[in-house]
Amino acid sequence: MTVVYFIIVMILLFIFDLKDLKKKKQKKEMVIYATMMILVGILGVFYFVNPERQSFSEIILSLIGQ
Amino acid sequence: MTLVYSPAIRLFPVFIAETSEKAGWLTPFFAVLPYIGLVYLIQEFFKKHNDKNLSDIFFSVLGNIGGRFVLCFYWLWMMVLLGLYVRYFAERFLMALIPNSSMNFFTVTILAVVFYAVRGGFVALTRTTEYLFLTFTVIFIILFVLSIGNIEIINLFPVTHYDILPLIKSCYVLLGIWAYFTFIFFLADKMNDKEHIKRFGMQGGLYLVIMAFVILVQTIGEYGHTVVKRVPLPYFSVIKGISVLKTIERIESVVLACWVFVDFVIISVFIYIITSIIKSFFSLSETKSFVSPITMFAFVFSNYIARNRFELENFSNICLALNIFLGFIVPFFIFVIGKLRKRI
Repeated sequence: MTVVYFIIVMILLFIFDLKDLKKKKQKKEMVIYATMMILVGILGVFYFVNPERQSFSEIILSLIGQ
Repeated sequence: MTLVYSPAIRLFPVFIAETSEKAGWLTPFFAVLPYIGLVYLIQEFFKKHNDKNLSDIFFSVLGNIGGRFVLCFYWLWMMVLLGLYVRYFAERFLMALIPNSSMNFFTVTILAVVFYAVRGGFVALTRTTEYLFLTFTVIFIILFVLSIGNIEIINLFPVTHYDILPLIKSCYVLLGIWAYFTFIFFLADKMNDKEHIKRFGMQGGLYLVIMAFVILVQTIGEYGHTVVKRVPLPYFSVIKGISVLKTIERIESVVLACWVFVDFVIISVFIYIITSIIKSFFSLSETKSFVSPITMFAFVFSNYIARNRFELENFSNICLALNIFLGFIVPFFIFVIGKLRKRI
């Protein structure tokens, strides 16, 4: 359920901000903004589909041998 | 100074009680020396570049590619810190007040408020923080004065020359937090009076030393180092123990309210710093819209960063090391390279 709400909020923000950037004709900002939103969306779906996966701190701590 | 209040309360007493034991309250006087060095360093950065920010200094000293490479590390690290602070905000409520509630309730609430405030503008945030900073300081002093009666001198003395090495080791946690002084200069293009960084930095340093000293004296002085190193939020426990004429008690809600606002400021400032870094990295004209992906990232990452408080605390120890590296050591190398290349 969290992933659904997350995607809905992302899409709403995406539309709202993209409209603003289009009005100001900021193409470069639009491309970078869209890329960042897509990457954050992928991270969000990746995490919320399985919240019990290995956490970020667990990965880092295991890499440094703790 | 507002930025360090929350991590100071959370980290200083436990870590310092474990390392320096009874003498821990002297740690700020040792840690201030590298901080003074950092203030002088930052002043040197902006002597010839009064209208620039730290990202521009990196580009000036290291060139476009080198500057972007270093900036990338700062960008990623600030994103991790942002997620960490959002997580700690929620964890504090779960630890101290409402343990069986959903963490996402707290993270969504704070991020919604921050999102609204950050889009409103930097000036509004700084003006609000300026006024409320005085309120915090007054409340902080009042709470210290009220807790003086509970402090036992036997918990703070004796201090001998054998404590010098542990005191130097415990500077690690103070410097890990005071390193945020460097990060705020990513917003230096929005700051005035950069020719007085030394003066403001020293005044800030004095405040930081007094604040850390007070927190340590209150916690170690009241409960002793053996208890403080085992309690999750010892400062909170000290405030809970304050009783005025056995009538006015349970004033920890005042501290919690201050803490909430301080976390709001930290999260907002970190978002501003990240948008500033993105603006410099990609040479953009405007970054207001980028608050949305950064806030969404903060929400996801605050969940993903750790599964429980123990992992989070273990991870925080690494965070201190990286803060010192990015806040003290990298600026020092930038300074040396800048002087050799005559860019600073």
